[in-house]
This record gives sequence, structure tokens and C-alpha cells, in this order.
Amino acid sequence: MDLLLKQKDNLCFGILALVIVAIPVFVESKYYFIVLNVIGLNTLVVVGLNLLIGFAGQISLGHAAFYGLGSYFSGILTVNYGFPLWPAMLVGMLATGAVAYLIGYPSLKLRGNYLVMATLGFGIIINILMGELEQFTGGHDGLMGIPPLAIGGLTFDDDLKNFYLIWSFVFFFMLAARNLLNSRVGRALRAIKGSEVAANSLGVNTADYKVKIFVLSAMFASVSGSLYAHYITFISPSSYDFHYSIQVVTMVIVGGMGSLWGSLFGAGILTFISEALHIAKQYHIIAYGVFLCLVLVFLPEGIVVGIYNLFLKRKTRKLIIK
Amino acid sequence: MNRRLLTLVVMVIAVSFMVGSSLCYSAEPIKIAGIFALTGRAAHIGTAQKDAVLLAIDETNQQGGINGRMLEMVMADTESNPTKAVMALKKILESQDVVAIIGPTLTGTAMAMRGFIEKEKIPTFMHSGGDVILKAPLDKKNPNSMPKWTFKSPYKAADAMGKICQYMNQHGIKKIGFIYSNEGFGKDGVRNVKVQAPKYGVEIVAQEAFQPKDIDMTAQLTRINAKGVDAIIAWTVGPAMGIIAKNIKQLGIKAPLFECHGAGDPIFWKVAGESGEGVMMPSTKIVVADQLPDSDIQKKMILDYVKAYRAKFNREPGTMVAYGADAAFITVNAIKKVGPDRAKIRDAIENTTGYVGISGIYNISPQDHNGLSMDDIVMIKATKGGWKLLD
Repeated sequence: MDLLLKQKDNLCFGILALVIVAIPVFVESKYYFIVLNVIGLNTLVVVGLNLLIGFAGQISLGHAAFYGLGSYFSGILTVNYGFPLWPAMLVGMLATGAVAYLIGYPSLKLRGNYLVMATLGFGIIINILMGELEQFTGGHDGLMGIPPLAIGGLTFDDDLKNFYLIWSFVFFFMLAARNLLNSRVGRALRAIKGSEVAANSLGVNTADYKVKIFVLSAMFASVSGSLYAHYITFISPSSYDFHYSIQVVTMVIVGGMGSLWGSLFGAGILTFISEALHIAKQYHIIAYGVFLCLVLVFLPEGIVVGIYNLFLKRKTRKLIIK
Repeated sequence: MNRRLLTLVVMVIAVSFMVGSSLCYSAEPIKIAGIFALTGRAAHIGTAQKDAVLLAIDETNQQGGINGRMLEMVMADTESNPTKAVMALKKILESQDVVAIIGPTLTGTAMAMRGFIEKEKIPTFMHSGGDVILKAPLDKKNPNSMPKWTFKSPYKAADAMGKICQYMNQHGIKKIGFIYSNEGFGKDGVRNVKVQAPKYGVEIVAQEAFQPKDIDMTAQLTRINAKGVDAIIAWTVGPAMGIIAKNIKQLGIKAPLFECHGAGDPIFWKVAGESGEGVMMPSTKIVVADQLPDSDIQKKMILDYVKAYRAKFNREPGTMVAYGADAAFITVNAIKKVGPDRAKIRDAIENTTGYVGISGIYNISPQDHNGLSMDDIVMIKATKGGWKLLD
């Protein structure tokens, strides 16, 4: 799988860029743009999370909190303190990274899935703080009037402009993730994925790498959160609850763990399906559940990897018949 | 062979969809959007409101619609989630012929949608509870930037609290304990009770919080009771309403219990059971319509609506239903008056005065996009699985 992706990666990035540029030519509906934008935002979080789940083999149930920290740092700094837009986003990203380091450092030194518990608790604490620190966050009424992002004279104040903004971020962050995975760090991560003991015995500081990838993955979520805050211009604690953490983990698994393009498809398909299933009225949740079951039963490696494997199987069968 | 069959089936389905959707409506209907929390944590409120709005629209259609044109509701689900609410809004705004929006259910979703509604200039009648929807300026730096296109049907939470305190004043209750759920709604209650209680000579001697999902509040209630209170106010919705009533009975606390304006609903009896007996609360008149004096100008209107609601859905309407119905009726009336034009509908809604609704008499103005007052609220008491009107 990895081999295929590496060979065809550049081609895929080319196609992605083309699709991003071409979509506005064919799509006019604001609704489709907001769906695409939400897909983009989710993809950023999922790509980051997939680095952690797919390569460090650790699960985080607190990514809603990192996503939320990004949103709230951007929101609070720009609304309450008149901070300039982009530096606020950068501060949010660095601060979220620092927080992730504080959680990751002790829990990733331990063997086993202790990060799950730490992030689970952390996510709930942050969600409660969003509601309680009223003088900063606006409490449960939410924080309103967040200004849209701007470069020079260009203000990203509608769905189309935000589409270009968000998807540029997705493109470059995916590119960065790909380059990271193909570097020395990436090889170390791959070694950890293969066998942690083997990697350790060969001199790879596994704990250190795991912490680093966790911090990076939190930063991805934070950037996505900042973009969300400036796009919707209103944030409230209910957007960052435990359900969102679960949702992004599901996207990683459905897309395919350890597959960069799987992240894009996982976020895309699940966001799209949950919208499209509204045709089923109040039964859409059941339909969504059935869809998830089908994917996990028939394509347990995730959609992208699973379908590719099916394709391979078919090819070999044809060869055998011949 | 197999694949060909599959392609055929898919094509037949696709074609039938296309034909079906184009044949559905021959006459051009006027479209109103309904955005509700049909799933998620507020689903029980959202579905009740959806039914209420559907009933109002059906009624108009049975009377021949508006100038021969039927009303049609385009429905969307917020899933009780702010992001999804904005997505639902954009989806609805896709079809240009939607003239007005009714909903959403939750304050958080309403706040997320508000900015976009003002930008798109579409009249929206919300039935979410939070006063913040109308109170908070759109732009923090400009306190005069009040929402122009947004209205809301439930009376102000401050007035509901005022009504309780007024009732206490009239019945010699001086010292109270206040217990609230530690989230948006409960905290709003704390702010309000601190303003309203002193107005009516009521003193708050104890104040306790609990988490929304807690299953036992005996500790907090014991502390409140120890202060020797004359009455207890509980500000929460959902299962906690019933848990508090039960705990008070278990502890043998004699002080009467008052709950919030969301409690006057069949749900209350489901969560409280027998312990609900004797709990008092402010409410809309819908749950005690048959006990109203005949001189009450709302009585006939409410009784007619309740009858229609029972006939159609075979269950009892609660307070939440009243909010949905009023939002729908006022919007429909505005369309009747000025035709399907967004800006004109907005103006017509804003000029609604003396409208006799189910929740009260609406006097909407540019300064007050709600239009209800404290006089529209009644105090009721839970008895024998039903409600008794207090005076």
C-alpha cells in the first residue's frame, strides 16, 4: 500500500490541486461549499490524528480539545484583545503544541495505551473550561463576532474565499505530512509502526518520537480550529465536545490508518454521507451506523486501503485464471 | 451479466427519482423553512416544535392557503450542533424561494446561525429560549448593532424568574434556596434570580450547583435545607427536574419546590413520577387552557389548537409546542398580509401588535423582537399527572 502511494503520490497531489482549482468552476451552491469547507477542516484534523494513530500507534480521544484550543485562542485573542489575525493563529498553534507536550510527555513514556485516558480526561476538562471561564470565553452563550481572516485587502468573508483558504491549508499540510513521512523522522515512525521493540533496539528513541508526533498532530487540529473560528465567526463549547473527538477517530479508521490519502477520503466520505443521509429524515443516524458497520466489516483496513486491496485481489485472480 | 443488471436497476431508480420529484407539485407553493433539532440532545424539544409548526401550516393550507398558493415547509435538522445548524441554513438558502425561516431549537445553534441570517437578510422566527439571541450586539464594538432579521417566540427567561418571585412575594415567601444545573441555562438562571429576587423582597440565602448529568442532588439540597429556607427554586431542564423533586421527597423537605418555565411539559411527569406532585412553575397557558376563565381572550384560540394537536398527533401538547406554533402563526400571518417577499415579511413581523397567540399576546416592535411580557406567564402547580392553574 505504502509503495503504491509513494509512487503515485506526486500524481495524487497534482490531481488534488487540480480538483481544488476546478471545483469552483462547476459548483455554485453555497451549501456545497460549506460542506466542502467542513470536509477540509475535518481533513486537517484527521491528517494530524492519522500521523498519531497510523504511525505512533497511539489513539487520542482529546482532539476536539486541541481543535477547540485553536478556535478559542484565535477567537479570544482577536475579539477580546484586538490581536492581529495571523499571529493569533500562530500563538494558538504554539500554545496548543505546548499543552500537548505537557500531556504527551508523561503519558507516552509509559508502555501501553495511557495516552487514551489522558486525552479523554483532558478533552472533557477543556470542554468544561470553555463553558466556565465566562469572562474570556463567553461561557455557554459562546464567543461571537470573530473577524474573518484577511491578507492585505482580501478578506475571507464568504464560502468561496474560505474554500480556497481552507483547501490551500489542506494541500500544504498534507504535502508537509508526506514530506515528513519520507524523511528520517518518517522512517523512524515507520519503524515504530512495524515493531516498537525492534525500533528501540536499533537506537530509535521511540518515546521521544511519539511525543513529537503527538504535538504535531495537536497543532494540525489547532490550525483547523482557528480556521473554523474565523470562518463561522461564532464558537461555543458544544462544537468541541467528546463526540467530535470520536468523530475524527472514526474518520481515521474508516479512511484507513496510516494512509495519508485515507485521511482525506475518511473525512470527506463521512462528512458527506452524514449530510446526504438527511434524505432518510429521522432515520439518518441509523443509516449512518449501518454504513459504518458495513465499512468496518467488509473493509476493515479502511476505505482507501480496502478498496485497493480488493482491486489487487481481482487482478491476481484474473492472472491465475489466465 | 450481473453488472448489466445492476446498471439497469440503478438507472431505473435514478430516472424514477427525477420523474417523481418533478411531478410532485403542480401549483407553485410558497416555501417556508423549518430548522429544528430533530436529532441530538434536544431532539425531544425539536420534534415537538416541528409537529407544532407543521400543524400551523396544515391549518393555513386547509383554509385554502395564501391567495390560492399552498404553504410548504422545507425541513432541516441541526442535529443539536452549531456547525450542522449553519450547514442546514446554507442548504435552505440554496433555494431562493424560501421566504422565511422558523427555528432553530437550541440557543447555541441559534447564535451560530444569527450572523449568517443577518447577512443573508431572511426573516427568521426562532423558538430557542436564550435571551442572548436578542440581547447581544452583532458586532462587539458597536453596542447598537442589534439583530434586525431575527425574532424569537419564547418569553424572556428574566420574566419567568420575575413571575416566580412575584408569586413568592404574594404568598409570604421571604428566604429561598437556588439550585441550578451548571451549564448555560442554569447560569442564566443565576444571573436572573439575582436581579429579580430583590425586586420582590425575596432573599437568596443558599445557592448550589450540580452537573447536568448528575443523578443525585441530596447533598446540595441538604445544605440548602439547613439554611432554613421558605422555598427552593430549581433551574434546570431534562431528567434533573425529576431527580430534584424525588430527592426533596426522600429528604422530607417541607419547603415548596419551584421549577423553571421549561418544566410545564408532559416530560416533567415522565422524569418526576409521583414525586412531581405539588411542584410549582411558571408556564404558558397551553397546559391549563381549560381552566382559564372564559374572559381570557386566548382561551378559545388555545383550546382549538390543543384539540387539533391531540387529533393529529394523539398526545398532549406542552410549552415547547406553544413556542413553535406562535412562531409559525405570526410568520404565516405576515406572509398573508404582504405576500412572499422577505423584506416585507420582516417589516410585517416587526409591526405585529396585539396578536393573540398561544404563549401570550405579542406586541413586537423594533426595540423588542420578542413582544411578550410577564403578564403572559401563569403560575401552575403539578397535580395528579396534570396541571392546576394558580392565581
